[in-house]
Amino acid sequence: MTRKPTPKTHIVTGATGLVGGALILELLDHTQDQVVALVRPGKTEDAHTRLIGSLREAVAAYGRDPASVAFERVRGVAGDLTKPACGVDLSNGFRADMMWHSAASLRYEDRYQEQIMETNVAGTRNALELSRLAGVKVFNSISTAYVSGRREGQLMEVPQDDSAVQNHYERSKVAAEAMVQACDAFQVRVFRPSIVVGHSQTLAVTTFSGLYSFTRKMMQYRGVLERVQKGLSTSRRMRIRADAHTPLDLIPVDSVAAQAVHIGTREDASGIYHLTQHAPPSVGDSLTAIATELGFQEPEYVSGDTKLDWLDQQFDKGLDFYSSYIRTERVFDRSRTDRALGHRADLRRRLPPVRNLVSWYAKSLEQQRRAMPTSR
Amino acid sequence: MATDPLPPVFIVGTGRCGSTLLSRFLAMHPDILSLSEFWVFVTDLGGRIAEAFPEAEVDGKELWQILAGIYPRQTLMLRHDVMMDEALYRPGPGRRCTAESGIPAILATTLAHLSDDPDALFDALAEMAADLPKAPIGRTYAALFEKLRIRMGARLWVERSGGSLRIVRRLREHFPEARFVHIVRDGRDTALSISRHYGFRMVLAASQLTEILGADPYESADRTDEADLPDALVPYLPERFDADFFRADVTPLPLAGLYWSGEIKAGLEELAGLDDDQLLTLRYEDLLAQPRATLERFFGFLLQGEPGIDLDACAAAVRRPGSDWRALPPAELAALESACALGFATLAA
Repeated sequence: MTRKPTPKTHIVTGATGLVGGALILELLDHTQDQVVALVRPGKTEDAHTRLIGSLREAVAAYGRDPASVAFERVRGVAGDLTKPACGVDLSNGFRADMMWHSAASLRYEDRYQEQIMETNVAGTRNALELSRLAGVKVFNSISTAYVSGRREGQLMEVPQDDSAVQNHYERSKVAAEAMVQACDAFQVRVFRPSIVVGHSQTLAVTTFSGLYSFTRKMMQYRGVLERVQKGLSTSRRMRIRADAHTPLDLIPVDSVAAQAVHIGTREDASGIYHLTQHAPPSVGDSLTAIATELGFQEPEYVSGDTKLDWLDQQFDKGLDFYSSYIRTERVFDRSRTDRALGHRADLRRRLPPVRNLVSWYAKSLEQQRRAMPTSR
Repeated sequence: MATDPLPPVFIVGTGRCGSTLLSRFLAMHPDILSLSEFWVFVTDLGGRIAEAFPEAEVDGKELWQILAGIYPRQTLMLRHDVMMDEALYRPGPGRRCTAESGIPAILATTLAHLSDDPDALFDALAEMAADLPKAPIGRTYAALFEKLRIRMGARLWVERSGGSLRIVRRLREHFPEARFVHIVRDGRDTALSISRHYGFRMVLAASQLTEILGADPYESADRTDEADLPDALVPYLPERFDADFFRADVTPLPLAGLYWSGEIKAGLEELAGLDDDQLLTLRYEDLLAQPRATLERFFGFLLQGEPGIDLDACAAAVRRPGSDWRALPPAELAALESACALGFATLAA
């Protein structure tokens, strides 16, 4: 007779975010464990209500039957990543076994430097402190494959320093990783997803960064062009400074959650894991899919900025953050991840065509923006 | 006093094309009620175009809510002392409105252009509007302007707003009897002037903000996508408005040139089909080079006969503007000419 494993308690930060929400659903599906999610209370909702609302949104987005989700095993507690021990009330003897730290600021601009550092670096320090005080044994940290910054070539699942970072976001994630890896109080796993996109089956996504913020930028650019001059977005062929042949590493959110939970709940796992794509599409194919889906002509890809006209330059100015993604030739090695996953092919979800992902988002955004004032 | 009324006229253009000068002459003419910058302020510099032309019928009281509305773009500019020169009503002694209260749209220039006591005219116009019956918006506007025209003893009303090519389609739809004067200026000089003009600086920045945020930041508190804003647009947000930044900022010339081209192309398309007695096209450069002859054509079109004004006196008041595209450095000029190419090609076609 096999003994049932004793249920554990997982803490999850970033539970209302894209990866955090998917992780919780995966934990509920594949364990009998309890999940405690740290959530900032809303203006009118307490932490638990806000969490359940956010999870139900994710359940609907991923085409799940709400009745199949064990909501009774998840509890939202008030927390604030920027406070010591994440502001969690430990007076009642709060204990947990495993931390999933997925909360992060995905901003990168100079004007958000303080907020980025507070969330991603101080927030990680506070999550480590909370874990220590709660008796956590395993610390699973969600980082990013783009701690690599400007580095080219084959990138291994090893620690990175900040010598190649290009913005505050990358710097903050390198610093957070270093802090986690230097901590000997826990068994540590660092998961590095590449660009997380919508669900492999439904295409849906609950927050909109990475591929989606690029798409939104292009939609905004189209809108500005049309306000300045009707027909301008379709009458010209834009040039984009990008390496068309570079792989653009996109991974569906359900793939990230499935692989992270499989590895994160293995007792023998430790170290860094790339949650990336085996055969990613190229930058050129992806950007062309985005552009043409939004009604632009197929862009021309150029290597230097001397070939850009004034309009192209304006778009190019907004692409600094994306330079790691679209101008750097690199392949993320995922040997450790593949070894940890073993033969579980079901955990490697198919990447939908970029055009479909973009179309889903564009429709959703256009729906939200229906009330915009007319320009004529 | 002449009594036979004439159909109204809209003077349309890209903005910064010399039309303000025409309003000065219109105001001097005894047979003309000159409505200056009416659409500029009623649409809050283009941010409330749909609201200025509601689909439902409106009565006088509802019309007055549009005309007497105090709108956010112009109030922001007023409070930060960056209002453009065309706004004639300036708060101060003897004025009812203050920078804090804001200025009703029709009072900002239109009524201040007509009277030394615009507040009193505002009150009188409110009374005129009060009993207007429900009708399509164009007819309600026209009914009010007709009352004002009769009060002023004029034969026709002529509205002129900077940048009104943008609403030509709506003007034709809502004022089917109206005639049009289209004043055209060299795109390069127009763009130069636009790039330095506070009103256009606000219009073009607001367009970008609106598209990036997905909402008009002067009307909506939605800042969901604020992180997408480039640093250069953040000081234009109403809650972070930086008047010093605004004053020092310059609209890029290629952007102004592209705007000019777009307005010329769309404007000509929307003016197409008008007969010669419905549309007069004037070149600003002709007004500078041959002011008397150009003004004779202009007033002849408006009044369908004799100009009825001292053309020599008007012509003597025409001055050549200070800025000239020929003084631009070659690279800047090339970028500007590229941006204006579509407009020039459209005009040449």
